[in-house]
Parts: sequence; C-alpha cells; structure tokens
Amino acid sequence: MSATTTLKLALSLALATFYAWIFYLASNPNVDSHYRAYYIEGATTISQWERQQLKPYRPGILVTASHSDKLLFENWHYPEEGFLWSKGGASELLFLITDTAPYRGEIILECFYHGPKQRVRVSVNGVFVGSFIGTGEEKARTIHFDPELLIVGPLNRIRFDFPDAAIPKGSDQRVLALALRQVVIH
Amino acid sequence: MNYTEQTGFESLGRMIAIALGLFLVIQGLEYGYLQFNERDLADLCRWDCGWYRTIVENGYNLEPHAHTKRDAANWAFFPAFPLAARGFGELLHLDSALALVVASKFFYFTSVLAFIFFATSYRPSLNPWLAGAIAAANPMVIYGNAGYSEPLFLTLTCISFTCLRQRRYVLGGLVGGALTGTRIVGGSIGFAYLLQVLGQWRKSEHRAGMILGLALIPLGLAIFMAYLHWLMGDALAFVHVQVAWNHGPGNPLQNFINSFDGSLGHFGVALNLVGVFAAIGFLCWRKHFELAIFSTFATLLPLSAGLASMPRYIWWQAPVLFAVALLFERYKLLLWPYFLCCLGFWLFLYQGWFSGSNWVI
Repeated sequence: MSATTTLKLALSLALATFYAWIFYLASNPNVDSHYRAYYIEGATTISQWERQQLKPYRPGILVTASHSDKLLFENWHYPEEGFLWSKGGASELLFLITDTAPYRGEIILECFYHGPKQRVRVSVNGVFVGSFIGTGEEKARTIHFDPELLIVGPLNRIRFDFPDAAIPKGSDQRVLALALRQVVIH
Repeated sequence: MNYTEQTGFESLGRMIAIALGLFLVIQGLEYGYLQFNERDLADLCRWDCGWYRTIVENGYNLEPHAHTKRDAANWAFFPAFPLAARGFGELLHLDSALALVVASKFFYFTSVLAFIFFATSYRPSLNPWLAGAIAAANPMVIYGNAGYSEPLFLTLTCISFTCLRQRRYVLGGLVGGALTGTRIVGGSIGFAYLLQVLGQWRKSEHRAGMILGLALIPLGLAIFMAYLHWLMGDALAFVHVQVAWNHGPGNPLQNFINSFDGSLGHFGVALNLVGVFAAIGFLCWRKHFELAIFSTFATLLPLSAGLASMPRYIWWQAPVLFAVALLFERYKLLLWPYFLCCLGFWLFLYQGWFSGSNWVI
C-alpha cells in the first residue's frame, strides 16, 4: 500500500470519527426544556418568548386569534388571516389571573368549525364544564363554568376536546375542528 | 462537432467568453428593468436575502427573535454563501445588502460557466452556447441575482459532477463538502457520488481516493452542525427552527398529489413537479443515473416540507437544466419561443419580487 493511499484512508477514518462525534452532538442537544419542548419534541405550540411575555388576564379582555400577551394558545395551528385552527384532538387556552373574585364564569368564543358538525367538550383546570355541537359560523358561543375552578398563581387551562376532528378534503393535511377568531373570558 | 476537441486554453477562453457574454446580456436586461422602475441593485436584497444579511452583519443568532411568535432565527440558512458575501463586502467595501447581491451575481456568472463545463463533459457534442444560454436564461433567474444561495449551489453542483465525470474523486468530494455547507439539499451529491463509485469500484485503481472523496462530502454540513452546537447547543437547529416557518416533515408523494388541488398557485408548482419527474425519467433513459438520483433527492427533500418555493428548488438543479439543454439540442426550433417565455416569466417574477407578495420567496 503506497503512502498516498495510506494517507487517504487515514484521512477518511479521521473524518468518519469526526462525523460520529457530530452525530453524538446532534443526538444530545444542550438546550433548555422550553427549547426542547417547542423546537425538538413539538410538545408545545407556545414559544419561549410568548411565555415570557405573558401578563395576567383581566375579565372581559377580548383576545383575537393571533399573538396575545394575555392568553397563550396551546396546541393550535399557526395563525392565519384572522383566525387559528385547533390542532388535532384537543387545544387549550392558558392564562394567569391575580384574583378570582371578578370572574363570573363565562367563556365567549367567536369561531367556526370544520365540517357540518363538531362535538366540543370543554374543561377548566381539568374539570369538565360542558359540551356542545358546533355548526357553521358562531358570533358568540358561550360556555359557563364555576369561577371557583380558577386558580391564582399557576396557569389556568381551558381545554377543548374535539372527538370529531378530521383532515379536510383537498390539500390541507392538518387535523382540524374549531377555528377561533376571538375569545373573551368573564 | 465535438466541442471538447479544442485545446485546453482555447476551450477555457471560449467558454469564459460565452458565459461572460450571456451574463452581460442578463445583467443588461435586469439593469434596464431596475432603471425603469427606479430601483437600486441593493433593493434586490429581499426575503431570504434579508436573513442572509443578518448572518453577514452579526453572524448566527444566539436566540430566536423574528416572526409573530419570535421563534424564527437565521439558523435555517447555511453558511457558505453568506461567508462568501462577507468576503465580497470586505474586499469591495460594500454594505451587506449590496455585498450579497454582488456575490450572488458573481456566482451566477460562475454557475453559467460551470454549467457549460458540466454539460459538455457529460455530452461533448453539446454546443456550449446552448448549454450556457439554458443556464443563463433560467426561468427563476432572479434567485441568481438577488442575494440568494442558488447560483453558488449550481456552481458547486456543476463542478462536483464535472470532477466525478473526470474521475477526480477527492476534488469532487471536496467541492461536494462545500455544497453541503451551502444548502441542506447539497447532501444529494453524496447519493450521486455513491452511485457512481459503486459502478466503478471493481475496475478502479483509485479506491482510496473514492473513499476519501465520499468522506469529504458531509464535511460542510458537519462543520455547520458543530458550530451550531457550540453556539447555541443544538446541532440540528437548522431543521428544528423550521417550526417557525410552519414547515414540518411530511409525505412528498402526498404533497405532490396536493399540488393538483385546483388552485392557480399550486397549478404552477404541479407543472414544475411533473417537469422535474419527466426530466429525471429522461436522465435515467439516457443512463445518467447519478444525475437522476441527485435530482430525485434534491426534489423530494424540499417537497416533503411542502410546496413552497418548489420551482426555484427545481430550476437551480444542474441535472434539470442539463435535461432541458438536451431537449433543445434535439428541438432547436423551440429554443426561441422558450427564451421568450422565460423573458415574460422574469418580468412576472421581478414584479412579484418588488410587490411585497410572498409567493416569490
């Protein structure tokens, strides 16, 4: 074996070792849990910046379906023109409050649905508060809940379960159920 | 006539003259358009060029900062082109936007030249004028002149394939390494290389060179990944940050079917996809399997993420342009109507470019 051949093979081996190290680095990212959940695992649709910006929600504040510093949209698709679609079988609205007293226990949605009918089950902080069948365009779908379910300090979670969520016909491959235009919580 | 029968210097001089002539024609047309619309060269730096600009000016982001959710960062953009543009900026004392535009124009020229070499090495009887004209009159020519990495990608692809054709494996691998540092689809050259090497393995006396060449191809990508890990902790950030563009891995076949959904925008993409698959089939029929496999991967990889930007991903592939050149070598009468169509499409694209409509991205 000539010296040139040996050198070429040695270089190849060195490069292979380098790539093995890169593969190890790629498999073991040195990132925080928010980055991992948002970018790598896709476990959340809330960016770190949105979490950092979150301010307490006050009853009656109208939040449109895009970015808000009063409400976080967990497991919703990327915002479109004036609305955002729920993602998969369940989506959540997250918010902080400083006091439960001003709340009367009402969620009002302006929304529309995928398909002729969509069953929607709603829970607040893990407690089922009601269900309805959504059709067409709704200006003020109102859901009542016990305001005692709200908590001061940690994030409050309003969860929507969509047993009829489905992929629409055509080119859109997303699993859709409810398209939210705006929401108010009282 | 076999155009490679000329002597080395004669051939090189002739090819440079052809590439320069064609380059100047396109630059003249663009200059006329910009003058008529009262635009500067630096105005061309829009859309992705803006992202490259952030890299030229401040390097790669430590934190995401852009888009509504502040989740986008410049990690998605590979380093070879902005590095070169920075070099142009420092050498010529240009601001970053102009440096990117000038760098892309320089590589647009080199891409025409490299394509002539590539095409005539694969088909020696091909008229270099025809090869150069097909590369220069790319329907997606704006991406070669507006601070995008496409012309560098085409240049490096052509050089790498030319080296492969000449069985200069180490040099081909080294250029392939630069290609993987230019765009993620640059990795497609690895499959082409592997296919060629496997076909010649038994009878070759340069097996060590073949192995080293193959080992060099991922080098650009690996260096970028190592840098990203060192900078912000995620070697695959260029993949993971795609979430900020709402791009996720999907089924390319399903996306291809989706392109026939009846919408006008998708219809154009569908035509391009049918065209590229026809070109791949044509290259297989001509037994240029390494070119076909390159285009297969260079098409399917971006197609798996959706239909966005597919025409430019297709039209800056050397094998696709080569298939077009072979087609017009056979049907010369169609060449002028083709150029006229391209001219019309350029106007359409340049109008879209400055209109603020993001379908041009």
